[in-house]
Amino acid sequence: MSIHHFLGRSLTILFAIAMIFFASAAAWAEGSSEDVTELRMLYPGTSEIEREWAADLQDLVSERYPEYDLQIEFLVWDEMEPTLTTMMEAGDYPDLMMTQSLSNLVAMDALMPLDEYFDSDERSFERDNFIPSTLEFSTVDGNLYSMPVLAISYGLIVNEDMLNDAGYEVSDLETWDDIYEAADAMTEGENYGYSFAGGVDRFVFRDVMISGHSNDGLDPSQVDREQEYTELLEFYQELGPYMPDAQVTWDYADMFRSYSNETIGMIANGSYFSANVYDLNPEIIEKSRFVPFPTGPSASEPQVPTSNAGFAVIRESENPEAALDVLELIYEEMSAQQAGAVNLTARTDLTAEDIAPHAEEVYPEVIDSHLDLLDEFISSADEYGVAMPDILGRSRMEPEIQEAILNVAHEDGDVQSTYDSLSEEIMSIREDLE
Amino acid sequence: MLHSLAKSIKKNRTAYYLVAPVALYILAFQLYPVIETLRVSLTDMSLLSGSERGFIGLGNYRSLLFDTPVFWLAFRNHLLFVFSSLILQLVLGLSAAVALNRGSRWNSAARGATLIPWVAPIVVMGIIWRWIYDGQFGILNYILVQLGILEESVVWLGNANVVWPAIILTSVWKGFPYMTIMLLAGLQGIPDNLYEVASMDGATKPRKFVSITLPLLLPVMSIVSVASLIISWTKFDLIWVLTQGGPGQRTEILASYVYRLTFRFYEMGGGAAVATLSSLLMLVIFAGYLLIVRGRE
Repeated sequence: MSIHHFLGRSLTILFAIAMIFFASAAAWAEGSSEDVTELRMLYPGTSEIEREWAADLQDLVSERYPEYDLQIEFLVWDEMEPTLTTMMEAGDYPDLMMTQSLSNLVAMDALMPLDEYFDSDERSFERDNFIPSTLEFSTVDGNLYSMPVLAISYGLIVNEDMLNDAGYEVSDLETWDDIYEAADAMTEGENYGYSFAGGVDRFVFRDVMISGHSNDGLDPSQVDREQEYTELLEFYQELGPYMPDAQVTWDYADMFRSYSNETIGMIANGSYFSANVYDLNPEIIEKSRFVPFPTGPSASEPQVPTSNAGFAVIRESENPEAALDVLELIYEEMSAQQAGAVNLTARTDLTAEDIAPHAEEVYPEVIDSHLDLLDEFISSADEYGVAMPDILGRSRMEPEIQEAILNVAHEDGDVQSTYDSLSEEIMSIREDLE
Repeated sequence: MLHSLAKSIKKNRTAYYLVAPVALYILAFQLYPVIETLRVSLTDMSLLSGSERGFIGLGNYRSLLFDTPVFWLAFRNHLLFVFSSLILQLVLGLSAAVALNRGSRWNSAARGATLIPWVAPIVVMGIIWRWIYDGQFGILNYILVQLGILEESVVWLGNANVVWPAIILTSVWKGFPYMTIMLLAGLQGIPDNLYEVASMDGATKPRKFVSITLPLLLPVMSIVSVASLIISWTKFDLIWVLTQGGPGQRTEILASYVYRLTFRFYEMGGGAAVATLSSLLMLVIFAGYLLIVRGRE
């Protein structure tokens, strides 16, 4: 037998063995999948607290539904949409995901409407148990696409000690003029009055969303409201000298680090604040106060934009009923723990007593201050809360807005010409998506 | 033709069996994505606009080349980034290789230390460099201010005048060990007797370097330059960790622009078109390189 024949036969035999092996493995996998329903959830949990919550959810699912195997894929928020997009393009659909902004996901037809299940007697979901503005944020074109778990209220976080040392009280902060004065007074040497995370376009957009809302509900896509918009650009230009130049490269972690080090006096932020600063400097929570963002020249009263973080079922999930079972489990048993870990619950039927024990586990050193801050978030949202608009094409607008804000704040760019070019870009994006 | 192919397969069955897995891999994971990218680039596929859009011919290319200033900005930035990194890596790598080629008892330790930047995870290194460059807390500013070289801190990654030198420095730091090790291997392949003969003829050290070392090292330099060029060409992660293409889109390169269009804006057609143009440009550069090398041969 020649070496060629020998090799050829050996390879044929090896190939046959491999085929038998793969066939057996496939049969085994099929057999096992009859017993276990595999569910996959995309979850933006990278901190210890969030991982604990996820592990508890997995344990609970195993206990209640032994036939389910819940796998959790941990990501960062920024990578949630791109990851889902890639999975969808490959036809590899997860079953559940945590969500914030829904407009892109709905435009991609990625999510399953939940109205039928929220209105059904067979499921325990009750619409009345959710804060209305959070349900509104989860609703796109009249359909509910996610179950809110956390309410996120946005406004101004102030280091009260720094403010007092500068000769001001928190109650003094009512208008943008008050912010200029306080920021000016707090800016000295390495200390600055105000800051935002200028290095990441979506965080600049968020800052503009928060401050703009207090100028008569302006959102960053509304470039057709020229007066309010130019006032907003002037606001950032006016604040320029009271913000660190370094912020043009900062992300949230850098901004929180500076704020926690008490070199920054004020930041526009949301009710996830404690979760972000606790590991850096727990004491900063004791010194921090939350107020609705002071009003701009075109507004008579502030607005507190409110969004939510929730869970959604993927439309192409192979096991939608099982995914809904998990969603229901989160609704019934895991919402308080999630709220305790982060901050505000989206639920009206959960009381401070439900959440406080979980919060105490997470923020043991400053629990009273954390709960005080939580009260300020809740009362501000109650009085001034509005659903934060979910803007389609937001990701395309973000770099344009980042460029415009950095231009007026740090490069002394002309407000009118910055507005004109920004307006042109945003209108073009809006028209493109219409 | 088919008959001769069948005959060839029958005759060389074993060889075909052996090649088949690699051929299948190339078809599935290299050729198919290229063709699919090309196909998508001819559509206005956008995940945010529903599925009613379709084939638009060269529309994406026209739009990029004639109506999209950001594309040209990314293009210019890309060339600056890739070629500056390459040239500096080559110069630094060659210097380090020559230094390491000298017999010294510290050579082994020095070679190991040289490799550290190359083997370190790029994202971790990117984050560390971002901290080094931070305009408020960065250690680079601290040192330069303490030494009196700077009067006040500079925002290295946010200032248009210094952002590219800062990015390129990081890229060179990360990439030069590869050059060093490859060139060191090349240097060690040069026979000692050539230098001995040159010494007997009275050649000085610089003369020996120019007349012996460089010409004999040229083939290795060509290969590592191409490899390094390809690595830098697709280096998306470093830019993304350092600046995310910002502030705004000022440090956008083609690789980050593909990512932004595809996974941030969900404009799959536009993203595929940029990816295709980037690949074509790479091919043109590579073809030019081959022409030069063959001409020299």
